[in-house]
Amino acid sequence: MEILGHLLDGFAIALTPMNLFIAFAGVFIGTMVGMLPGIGPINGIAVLIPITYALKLPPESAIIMFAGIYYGSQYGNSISTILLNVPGTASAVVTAIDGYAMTKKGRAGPALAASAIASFFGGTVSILALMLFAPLLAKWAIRFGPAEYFALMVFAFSTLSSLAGGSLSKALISTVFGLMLATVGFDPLSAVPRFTFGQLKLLDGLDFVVVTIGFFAISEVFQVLEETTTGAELTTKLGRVMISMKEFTGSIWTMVRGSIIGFFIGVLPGAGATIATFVAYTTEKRFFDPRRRLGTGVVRGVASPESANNAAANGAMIPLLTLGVPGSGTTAVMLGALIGLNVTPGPLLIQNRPEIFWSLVASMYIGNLMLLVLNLPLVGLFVKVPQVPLVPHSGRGCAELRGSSRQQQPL
Amino acid sequence: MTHHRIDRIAGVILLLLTAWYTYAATQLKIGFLADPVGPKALPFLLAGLMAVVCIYLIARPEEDPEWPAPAAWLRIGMTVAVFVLYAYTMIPLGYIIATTLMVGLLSLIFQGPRLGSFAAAFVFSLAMYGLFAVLLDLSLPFGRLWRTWLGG
Repeated sequence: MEILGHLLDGFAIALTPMNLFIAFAGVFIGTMVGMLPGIGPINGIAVLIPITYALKLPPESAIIMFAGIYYGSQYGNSISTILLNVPGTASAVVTAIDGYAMTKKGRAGPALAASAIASFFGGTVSILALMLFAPLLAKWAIRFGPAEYFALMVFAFSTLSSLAGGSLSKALISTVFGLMLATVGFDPLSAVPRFTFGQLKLLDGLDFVVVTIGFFAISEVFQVLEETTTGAELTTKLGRVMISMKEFTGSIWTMVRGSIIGFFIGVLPGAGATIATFVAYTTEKRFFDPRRRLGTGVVRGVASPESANNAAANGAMIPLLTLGVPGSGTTAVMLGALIGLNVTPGPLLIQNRPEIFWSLVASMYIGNLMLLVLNLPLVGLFVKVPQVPLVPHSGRGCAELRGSSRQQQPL
Repeated sequence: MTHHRIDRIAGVILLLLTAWYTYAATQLKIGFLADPVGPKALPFLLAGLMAVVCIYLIARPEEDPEWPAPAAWLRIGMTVAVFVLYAYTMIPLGYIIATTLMVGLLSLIFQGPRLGSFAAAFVFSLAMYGLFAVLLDLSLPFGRLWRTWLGG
């Protein structure tokens, strides 16, 4: 009952015209950045950070927009994957297996519909879970002292190292290297300046937002440069963007499994939407595919990873909001942005600023509905976007990004 | 025949970096009343951990990755050069010119048409400057050079 009351308060904030518009802007931008290879949700959020500061958006509106970009990109990334076999972001790589196989069979429309429906399903299940579990976790985490936080951080860093990427030693090196970078500047407790080498500029340390954007976004640019950009043939013949009732009922349990797996993997630090799609798909293939149909272009093969990556994107909000621990690159950038808006995510956030958490939850229900509408009847408009040459988009992405990262530094 | 060179090289470079970090940590001056596990102890802890992982990487390297084609290397190198150029031109030349240069050069690297790239880049930079510096009132550098010329 308590939850229902809070949720109604949340809807009251999320349904104001401005927040509705902001949620729409977020999911729209999210769909676009998800769809365009080379620009991911990290860049999308990074570009908008200075705008949220400049417009003096209240923190709840800012996080409504950032979250909208994040889960919106999980819808959009399947569009270019299914049509072009070019995954919009890493978390759509698995979708390409069955999604593009369906396109080659002339069933691009049903594949897009399956992706939108599965995304909506995964999104909705995980918002419910977020709403039920996040306050409980926060209540429990309020009693955390320094020792518990230290243990939590060690846990987070070790799951991060073992789950992120293939090599344990390299992931550990990156983790320790990041901690080393964080020691630059004044020590927050004793105010001893460390590793400043007499440079006044280094006294404040290295700005978290600048470092994360630099590492994540610029490496994304390099990845685009590395891949040969041969123009793939775009399928414009979509067919009807719908799946049959039989296909829908046949993939309900697939979506349930994908959503549950995705949600729990999303909650773990270090394992984001990408890993969730791999685990969901391989589970489906190993245990629930007796006739070995997956991989040949079936609806279930799209439904499984698409429900998982949306559920994971929402699950990743839990450690961010209740513990202040970002579990992925995108939530790390969000953390930086929220701190800039004077909101410190952590166990006290839901208690002290309930309006932020509950309006976010409410807006996620609304945003997912908007995305379903954007992705089912209006998908025909979106598929025209990748036909625009990609070059200016990528250039623009990094230009703005450099612009925004510059602004974090005193000029 | 597989090679394991790159991981070893990376391990050695990082080990040298860690040694330098450790040396810098020994130079830290803290009050004698400070917490024994305070600001000076943490860097040593991190350096120790880093050294262990680096030695592991050198001892047990993985196979060399598949390198991108030489043409891709060239493009990556040029992109880095453009980023560095951008960082150094921003303050003296201002946001508009520096961004025009960067977006234009990047578009060239992505095989855009020559004149069109710079024209689009200029329009884009102007629009961004207008949006951020004029409409949203954020401080983007106008350019030290132009200010002295204009006597501002």
